Amino acid sequence: MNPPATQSVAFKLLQHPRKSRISLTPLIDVVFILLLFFMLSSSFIQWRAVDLQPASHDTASIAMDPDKILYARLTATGELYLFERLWSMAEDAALAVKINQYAHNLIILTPHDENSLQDIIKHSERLAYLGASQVALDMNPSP
Amino acid sequence: MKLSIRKPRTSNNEDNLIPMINVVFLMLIFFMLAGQITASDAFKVSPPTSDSDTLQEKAAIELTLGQADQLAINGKEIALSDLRLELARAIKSDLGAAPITVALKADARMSALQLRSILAEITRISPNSITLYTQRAAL
Repeated sequence: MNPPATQSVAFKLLQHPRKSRISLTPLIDVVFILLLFFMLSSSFIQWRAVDLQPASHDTASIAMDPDKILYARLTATGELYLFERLWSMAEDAALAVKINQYAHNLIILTPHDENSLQDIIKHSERLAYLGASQVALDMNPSP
Repeated sequence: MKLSIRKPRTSNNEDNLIPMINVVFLMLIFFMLAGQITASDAFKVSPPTSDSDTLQEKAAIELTLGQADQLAINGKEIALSDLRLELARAIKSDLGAAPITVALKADARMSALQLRSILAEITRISPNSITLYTQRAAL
């Protein structure tokens, strides 16, 4: 004979609740998806800024005394030409002395058409490091 | 004397996952805190390296220049012939943020010839300030 329905419910309520564990699998799924998202979309690059100062012969001569402007250029092979000669990286100390002797306000750097942007940045920073008060990039076509 | 031999505890499979979950959580926290979520560029660009310590701030107009004459303005790819028009449009929409800075994200291998034509266009429309995105040289 089956017990009545009310008796069965009361019996179940008196029983100790079963210790149930939360399944970790859905949690791991979500965490992995979040991890993948952040790994693929995060960027750790710290961008640095370099001011580009484009100059043309006309604007430079209007704004400044032409005697206070030094003209440098880069050869097709990426060498620096200043004071009517080429300067290798090994001669930087001598070049720094020469730049500091010459009272100037601006060095206009004319890159060769074949020079890469990396070459231009490298030599602009090199001139600034050696004592150039200001370095501008020539916008006119290379000679 | 009765020796009691302990039965090995039947471990739940999920218990073995806990160290892995710990590691995954740590990695998640690291990527969430240390990384920056940024929109990807319209095309691949390898910027030049420099010794500059100045951090690049968000510019009103961001021009991306690829090595193969690819050009994008604020993430939208455009043709070189449309540069002047698109630049003027972008400057017009950003008139509130004066002075307008144009940030260039250019490929390090880009030639001076390519750069010269782009810079000429930019200075014709916005002569205020041009900054170039660079990366620190690897030590």
